[in-house]
Order: sequence, then C-alpha cells, then structure tokens
Amino acid sequence: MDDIIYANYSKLLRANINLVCLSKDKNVNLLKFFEINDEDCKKYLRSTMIMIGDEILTTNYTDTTQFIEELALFDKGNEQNRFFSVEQHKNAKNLKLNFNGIYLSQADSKTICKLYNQAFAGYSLVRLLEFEYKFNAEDLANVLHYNNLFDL
Amino acid sequence: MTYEKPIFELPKISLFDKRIFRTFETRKLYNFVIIKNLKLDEPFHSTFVKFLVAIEDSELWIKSPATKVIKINIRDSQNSFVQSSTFKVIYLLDIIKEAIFELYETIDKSSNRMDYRESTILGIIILLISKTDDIKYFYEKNGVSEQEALEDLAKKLIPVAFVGLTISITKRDNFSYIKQSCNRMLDNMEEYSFVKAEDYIPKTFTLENIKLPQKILVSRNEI
Repeated sequence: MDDIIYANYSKLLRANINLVCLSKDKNVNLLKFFEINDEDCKKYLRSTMIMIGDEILTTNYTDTTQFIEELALFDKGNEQNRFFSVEQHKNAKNLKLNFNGIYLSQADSKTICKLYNQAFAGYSLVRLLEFEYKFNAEDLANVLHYNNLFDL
Repeated sequence: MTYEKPIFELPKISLFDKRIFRTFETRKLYNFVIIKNLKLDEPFHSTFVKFLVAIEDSELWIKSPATKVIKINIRDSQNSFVQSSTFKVIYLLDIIKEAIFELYETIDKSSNRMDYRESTILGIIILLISKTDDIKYFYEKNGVSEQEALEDLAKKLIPVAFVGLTISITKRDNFSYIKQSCNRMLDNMEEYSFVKAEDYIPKTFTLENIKLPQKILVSRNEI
C-alpha cells in the first residue's frame, strides 16, 4: 500500500501538499499531505505538518495535534509543554514559541485552533490514523521540491 | 554487400577506454573536447580525463540562486528530533557540461599560442569548482578573496605547464564575459532537492587519488 508514495519521480506526482494559512501575521501554516488515487478519483489525507516561517516544526499527526492542544490550553499549560512557554508580557499572559521567541496572543491562538478544525472538514481521518505516512528527510525534501515550496 | 576497405588509412591515435566514465554526459564531453577537436597532447589529455572522473565521483553541488532554505525537524528511529536544512541544488557535472558546450565557440581564437584553448577550458572548470559551496566555504573561512581562491586551486590541480597561462587568462576581459554567462546559466539549470544534515562535513577536491588505465591505439576510421 505504501509503495504509492515511494520516492520515485513518476509516482511522486500523485502525492501532493496543500498549504493552509492559519495566521498571516505570525506566519503559521498547516501542510496537508495527500495521496491521490486516480483510479477511484479520490484523495486521502496521509500526514499533517505545521510550518512556521521557513521551518517545519512537526512532521506527523501526533505532534501536530499536541501543538494545537497546547495552543488551546493557553495559560493553563505548564512547563511540560514542548513547543510553548507561558510568559507575562505587558500585564497580559502570552504564549512564547520556544524555537524562535515569537509571542502569540489569545486571539492568535483562537484563530489558529478555529482554522485548524475547519481545515479538516470533509476529510476522513481513518486513512490518516491507520496508515500514516512516515517521512524521512530525503522523501520530504523531494515532495517539497515537486510542490514548488522552495520557490521564492 | 561486401565491406570495402577505405583507400586512405588514417593514422591511429591513442585514447582512453570510455568505460572509465560512468555517465553518458562525460563520454559526450570527452568525445567533443578530445576526439572531435583533437586535443590529444599529453599534459592536457590526462588532466581533463582526471577532472571528469573526479567530478563524477565527488558529486559537488552549487546552491541554486533562487531557493528558500527550509529547516525540517523529523523524528529518527530513537524517537528524538533531528534537524536538517533542505534546499535546491545544481550538480557541478551538469553545469560544466553546459558551460563547455556553450562557451567553446566564444573562446578567443586570435591568440597564436597553441595551448590557449586548453588553458581556457581548464580555467572554466576551475572557476566552476570554486563556486561550489564546499570549496567556497573552505576559502571564506580563511578570508581568501575569489581571485586568490581561483589561483590557489589552479596551482593545486593543474599541471605546471598550464598554470601561468590559466591564471593570466582569468584576469583578462574575455574571461569576465565567461564569468557572467556562467552566472546566467545557473538560473536555467535543472534543480534537485538536497538535504544537509547538522553534522555535514564539507568535501574536498583532489586529483591525486585517481589512477588512469593505459591508453589504447584506435584507428580514426573506427571512430
């Protein structure tokens, strides 16, 4: 089943990435990785990723879900958080992204969570949960290249 | 139909067996530069072949002028995050093939010296090697300018007979045209994705380890 997406140029054209913008100002994007089946005219969700600026933070569904849940908890989160830390900034609680130091307000986090949930409307999660595609670095670089994500 | 022997038997020339090259492109380059244009004299012939073999083996690359660098975090088999950066690259062999085919006509023919063309071809190869990221990184770390890096590479790689002429050619006006057109070529080359891991070690480029087989005598009628 997985040989549909193996790193072969002719077959990779049948797998593509959609980019959903979750926040314009903070440059947070959701990448949805699809397998496209021409025979029964369907496309299946196989993996999800979070990209912030020019860095892809998470490359599987589990990590992506954790990212969103930490946002949804906001100031209830504690030091166990992987991606965020809660910080006091100008008398208001904010979330600080650990890897680049960007602050997210409560409105930002609500917007991101709302758009994330809307992005899954209409897609089945069965394929994603049972047959999630596990990327290695070369595969992912190929897919990014064929979907023109390296273009300026 | 009977095979007729040609009336004039052309002289035999000594060539390298083409099986030392791995790709079709290098064979084509060898055909073009050495056989078709008859550059059979010795110091150039074997150096050019050594360059081709070394470039095939080393797989040096140039970062594409129009690319984003995207960092990716992927879990490895021990379940810990590994960061690496990915971008588009152009392979050195591709651009050298393109440059020699394109620029062979523009080489200055007015000079009386016999080894002028050979030196210009070696100059083009050295110029493109100095543009690759691994070699450039080495020279930038030591604070060496572009022209000095070119001269240093020329002294290391090229046989002594050609060094003086090659360096003087790289300073002329005609060569600045070659530099510009090489830069312009980089925009239209085929690009590949490349993953640069965190513990990436820059490669080096030498011709010392390459040993060539003996040449074979081939009749020119057979080519």
